[in-house]
Amino acid sequence: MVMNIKIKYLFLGSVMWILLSHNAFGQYQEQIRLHYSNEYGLGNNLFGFNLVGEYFLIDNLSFAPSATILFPATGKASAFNFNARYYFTEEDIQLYGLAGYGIFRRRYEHNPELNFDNRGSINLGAGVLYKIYDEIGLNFEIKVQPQNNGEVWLKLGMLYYIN
Amino acid sequence: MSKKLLLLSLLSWIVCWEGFGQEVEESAEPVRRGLAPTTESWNGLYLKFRLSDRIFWYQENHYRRRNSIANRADFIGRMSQLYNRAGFVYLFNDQFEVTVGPTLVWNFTPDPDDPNYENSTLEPRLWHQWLLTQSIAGVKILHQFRFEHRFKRDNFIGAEYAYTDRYRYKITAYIPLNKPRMENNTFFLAPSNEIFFETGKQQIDVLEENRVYTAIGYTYNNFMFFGGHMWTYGPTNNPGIYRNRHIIRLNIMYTLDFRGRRTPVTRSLPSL
Repeated sequence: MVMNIKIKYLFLGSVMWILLSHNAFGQYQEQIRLHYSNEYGLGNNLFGFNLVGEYFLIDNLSFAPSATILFPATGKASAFNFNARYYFTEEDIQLYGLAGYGIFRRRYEHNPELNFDNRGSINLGAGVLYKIYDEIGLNFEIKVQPQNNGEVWLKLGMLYYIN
Repeated sequence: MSKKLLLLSLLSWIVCWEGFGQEVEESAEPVRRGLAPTTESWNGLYLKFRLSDRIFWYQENHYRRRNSIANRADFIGRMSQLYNRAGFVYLFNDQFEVTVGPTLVWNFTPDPDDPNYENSTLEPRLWHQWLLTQSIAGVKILHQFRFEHRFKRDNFIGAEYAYTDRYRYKITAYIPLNKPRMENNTFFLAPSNEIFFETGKQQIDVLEENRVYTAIGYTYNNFMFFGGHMWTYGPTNNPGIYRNRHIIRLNIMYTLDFRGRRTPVTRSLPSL
């Protein structure tokens, strides 16, 4: 009985491995992509413009630093993120998971007690790219920042596949 | 008879009273008055990259200064705006293209010495543009319909954002001077006129501004150098008060076709 369960797990594990291995060759080392997105924070209700550069260090794994300028009602806000993305699928729909570190900066306009706030947090999230043309795609992403009051960020944008 | 006289007197009195009322209303009309002209300097970088047969990336970055408070004619006395506009262009055919994208403007304080002003505020916009191009005897004529959805605020500390929609139409003629048509190494003259309308809850006047701009320029490989004088005229927030500006513009445009630069990437690991 125990042996049967082990065999089942082994079989399932093998199938998963084959599936992942088969689908994991869509993103190649040295590929570069540029993204423009609009980003929205669900908790802080902030909207902003976001730029991302993405470079594949090895196949399937990219480094994607980004900068966001947000538009609060008063004062200023911005965010900088340094994420790694791992892609699970190739072809037209490309799914990825992300992890990294983010910095959220907020400058208040008329608050003498707290003029400036700077918070760092790890980022955890996932996203999907959809290729419209050979060069142009759409990107949707969701990420959570546990150390920034559990802020959830949604991102929707376009990207250009440089190579 | 006396009744008729009474009615006539009453009617004439009403008519006279209404006429008098109109006269009072007319005299309340604000008198149009123009402010003394001010000066500014706008310096712009324009980029247009062809990403595919149909799609371009378009970008403008401007560094804008305006005259100092003490001297209306010095052009560069105060920082005015950092102006960034970008978008994806879809080329339907050689005569028609549409651009959609964001704009982000830093608006700087009108008085750097006044602590009641924020040094700079952000003005985000979404914009789209419908551009029609025609050629007549070597002259290239552009009809530019541009629509901007703006979130703008004053630089006063604590001022609130106001949403407005802006509608712009510009007609530009590119007139080649040393060649039969616009091509490489062409000196050209480019007169244009652009009219701005703006609507929003706090807008007093729908007409925002008119800009008359005459540029001279030169095309050199991927570059276009152009600049000139622009005169603007339009209402202010005070009813009946109009402003006008003399602006010197200097610009560089750089275009690049990425289609030939997309190198194939080889897989670093064999596929299963």
